Order: sequence, then C-alpha cells, then structure tokens
Amino acid sequence: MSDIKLFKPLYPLTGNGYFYGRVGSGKSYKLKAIVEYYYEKGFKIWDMFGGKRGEGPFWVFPSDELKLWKEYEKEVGLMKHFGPKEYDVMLVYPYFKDELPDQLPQKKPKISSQLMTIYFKDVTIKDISFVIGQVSPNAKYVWNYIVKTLPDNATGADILNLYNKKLKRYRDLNLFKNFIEPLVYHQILVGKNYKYNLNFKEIAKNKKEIFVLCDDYIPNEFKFFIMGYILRKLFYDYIMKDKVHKHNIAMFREMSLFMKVVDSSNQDDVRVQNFRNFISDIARYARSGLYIFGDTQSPAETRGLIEGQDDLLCISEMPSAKDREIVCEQLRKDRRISSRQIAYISTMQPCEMVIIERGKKAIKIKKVQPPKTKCWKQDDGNFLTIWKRIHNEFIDIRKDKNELEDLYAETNFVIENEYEVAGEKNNDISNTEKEIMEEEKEILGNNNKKNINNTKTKVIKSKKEIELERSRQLVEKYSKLNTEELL
Amino acid sequence: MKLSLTENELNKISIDAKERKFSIDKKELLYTKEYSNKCNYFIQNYRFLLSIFNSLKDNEEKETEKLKNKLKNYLENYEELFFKLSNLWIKFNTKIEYGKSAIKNKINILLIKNELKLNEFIDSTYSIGKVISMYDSDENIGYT
Repeated sequence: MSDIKLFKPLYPLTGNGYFYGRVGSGKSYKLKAIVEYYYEKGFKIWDMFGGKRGEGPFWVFPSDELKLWKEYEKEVGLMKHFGPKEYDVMLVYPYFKDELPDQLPQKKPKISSQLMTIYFKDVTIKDISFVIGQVSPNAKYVWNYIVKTLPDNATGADILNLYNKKLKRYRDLNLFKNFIEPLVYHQILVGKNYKYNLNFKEIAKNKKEIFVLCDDYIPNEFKFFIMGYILRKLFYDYIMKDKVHKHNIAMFREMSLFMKVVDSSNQDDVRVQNFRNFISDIARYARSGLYIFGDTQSPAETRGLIEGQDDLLCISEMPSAKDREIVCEQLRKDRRISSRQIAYISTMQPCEMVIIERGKKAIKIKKVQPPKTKCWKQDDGNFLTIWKRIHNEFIDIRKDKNELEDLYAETNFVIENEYEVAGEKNNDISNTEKEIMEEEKEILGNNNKKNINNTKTKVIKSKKEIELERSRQLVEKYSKLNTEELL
Repeated sequence: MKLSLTENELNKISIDAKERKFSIDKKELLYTKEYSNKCNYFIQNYRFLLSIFNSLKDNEEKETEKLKNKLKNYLENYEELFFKLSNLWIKFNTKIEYGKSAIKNKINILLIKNELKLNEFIDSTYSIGKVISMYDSDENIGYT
C-alpha cells in the first residue's frame, strides 16, 4: 500500500461530471463509483436515466463482485468498511395506468416504491414541448386557458370535460391528440396536493435516500417529458429559489440518447433538441446546485455541452482518434494533458481511467474502486429478473389504481355557462363532424363568447355550489310568490 | 478492548499480522472502539451460525436451504456484517480462496472441533493489533 497514492475527486463540486469511453470500457461502472463518492459527501442523488438497459434501480442491489473487492483490498490494504453496500432507495414509478403492473418491487425499510402523479397546473409549455416538439400559438393558448380556467383540485377528467365542451374546435391540435388525451387516459394528471404528487422539498431533504426514476413503464414518447418535468421543477422551482439545498446530482447513463446533435427536420428531432437545450441550460448553471453526471461513448455526441463546464472529465478507453481529438485537443493546447497520455487513452484497461479536474492536469488512475452497488452484466437479465431472484418482495398497487379510477370516473366541476345553456342536455360527444359543429355553434355562440370573456375568473363552479345556488333561487322565487299572494 | 496473549499466541498472530502489513510490538493488543464493536457483533453472529450448523443434518438440501433463509433473515439486522458473513459462507461452501488459505483452514478447524477459540477466530477474521492505516472506500475512489 505504501507505493500507491490514493485518489479523491475534487470537493466541493463546482461543475458537472462527464464520462467517456467505448462500449465495455467501464464508463458506467466508474460513473457509479464516483457518484457513490459524492453521495458519501452529502449529495442527494437523482438517478434520472438508466439507459436502454434500465440500470437505474440497480442501486438496490449491493455489489456481488466479492472477488473484485478482495483483489482491490489486497492492493489498498485492509478496508474500514467492506465494499458492497446497501443504500436507501426510492423507486419512483410515474403513473401510466395501462403500463404499470399490479405489483411493484418494495422491501421496507431500505427500498420503497412510490407512484408519481403530476399536478396539471405544474406542467408548462416547455414540458409539453418534450412530447409534441413545436408548440403552436393555438396550443399555448389552449393549455394556458385550461390552467387558468380549472380550479386547483380538478383532474385530467375535468380537463377532458372542459376540452369537449369549450375547446372542441381545438381537438385537432397536436397538443390534444398527443399530449392531453393520452395523459388523461393514463390518469397521471391530478389536482394539487394529491398524495402521489412528488414533494420535492421532502425528497431532497432526505439525502440518505437515492431517488431513482424507473422508466420501464413510461411510454417512449413521454420519457423526456417525465425527466424534464422532474428536473425543471427541482431546479427552477426549488433549487434556484433556495427552497432546497444546493447539493444535488442528476445522473444519466447513455447521454447520447438525448444529447446527440441531430438534424432538426422532423418532430422527434425537435423534441430531442428541446430536451438537449434544456439539459444544456441546467448544465450551464450547475453551480446553482444541480450537477449533471453522465456517460456517453463519444464526446462528439455531446459536443457543445461540455466546453467550459468540464469540471470532472473522466476518460476510459477510447480507440477512435477523432474522439480523442475532440475531447483532448484543447486540453493539450492548454498543456493539461500530454501527447503521451492521449496516446495511452487508446489502449487503457477497463479498471483504469484518466481524470481531468477543473484547472488541473490530467491524472492517470491505475485502478478505480469498484462500485458498491451492482452494475449491469450480460448474464444478469433486467432489474425485475434480478429482483425476483434476490428479494422477490412486492407491494400491491391495485388499491391505488382503483382510487385513481374513482377519481377519474366523475368530473368534479361543470362549466357554469354550459350548464345554464345546455341544461340537462346529454354531454356525450357526438361522433360526426356535423354534430360537433352544431354543438360548437350552440355552445360557443356569440352570447356565450361574451360570457366567457366576462366571466374569465368564474367560469366554473363545483356541482355542489350550483345545486346550492339553484335551491337559493327557488327559495327566493317561492318567497316572492308567497309575499305577492299575501299582499 | 484489551486482550492479553501468551508469547506463543503472539508469535503466531505476528506472522499473520506481517502478511497484512500491520505491526505488533506489545503483548497487549489494542483494538479501536469500532473494531471492538465489530468483533462483538461478529462473535455473536458466529455463535449463532455455529449453533445452526450443529443442528444441521449432513447433506440435506432442505436443511441447507432453511439455513440460508434463516441466515438471510438474521443478517438483515446486521447490515454491515452481511457481506462479511456471506463471504464466510462462501468460504465454507466453495473452493474459492482469496489468497489466505490459513483463514479457511482455521475456520474449518473451528467448525470440526465445534468449539470457539476466540483469539484464533478473531485472528482469522479481523486484523489484530494497532491499526496503522485503513483504506476508506467512502473517502477514495481509487489510486494513481
């Protein structure tokens, strides 16, 4: 042990951490080892993206690499704590009704699963752009109208109701077809203070517990939306406003999936571009308290993101000369890395790493400590398979599903004008375009348009309030009659 | 925790201790507070393990499975020791050796004799003597 020099990454952190290397060079493995180091330093870990293999929830399994740890112990000497560790983990499952199974993995007190719903008024136009790409002025108007009109405790069902009655003419909007309708169908949009809305303040406070976003049951088209929503809320609404501490790390594997610069010719690319810009913004202001840690194969895939923010650049084996040039050229000019070191990167062993910290020269790490938790291996299978093999304990969420089903079964609010005009009219949506147009004319006639404008702040009332008002009117009517009769 | 050892015992331990790069130059061996606690826990676990072993019938798969489950439940209360014990478990049941065959032999001897020799046991599972330095896996991520 006397001939080796131990290595500690820089602390306090002042920027993001990027890990580069070819497939199988151990970059995810090193990413985790370093994130675990910062966890011990008191950082809250937000594991946002587990890559295509869904490695996020692997935090729940202590490393089974006993042999590796023993070998490591031989080199560094007796260890204070034995390597593998079991962390407190919160597995967060966004509520997508049809996608979620009836049981979720849970093993208290260390590992808990939590459903996630979203307060619809928290959703911004930016979030929507992660799903539909370009948000048209009409779509902006419609979403703002919904947010402004409905009360705080409305649900997705009320949004649909409002849409079917007041906003029918906008049914062809991308916003409705690809955002509102599917989200309402999956019952994820709920009112304020619903028990499964994430309480960011409390979650951030509990630094001991690792937050893991499980995206196995999120439809592909909503993955950016969920990640973006969580990060935006956390960063702009809590960290930037000093409502929570400034020690947060958002962790991503395979960043190239969304950081790759692509041709912005179709809608999907616009979505990726929007999300990329959003992550770049957060990365730029990392020092405000949310640091991005992620790995990717080629620095070319994240070009433009890292320049100027490379506080912790970790390079694993990188055979491509072009990649080496992109990541090292500027550093070489600044004399922070030598040509010999650059050449060495092309043939490094998986346990080795070259690390470049802010303002310092490149350092070669001869051996990186193995992560304390499990990393994906070819023979393992996915998270659920391993969970069944090791813990096999689950929590039943059918009750929660029924609760949300009930919440969505009835609309809680009716539109006052609609109620008055349409009376007992059947509210079912007619199928033919003609009928729709007729209804639209009826509901959105000139008089009612005026009403909408005049009653911007009081468009809707709860059913109870309306009944109460009606009974008051009846009482007044009868009391007048009686007085007249008496007179 | 202080332990007084005989000259013979000390010599024997010193050989192991040298292997592990620790120095022992006094007859009274000092344990850090943390080590003392860990040793106590470990001994407690070890006794429990031994009692289960004694109640086992030879070569019965069901019994072994039962033991594993019992062990698993029991170990939940001792998170830190989980891996140390599972490691021990591997040593009992497989031919995997991590370079220190002496450890395995000592444990086997203890099992066969079915008695607990404390000093030997501690020697075979934990380093003894004044700790010069230990690697903290929470504070480092590798070496250069």
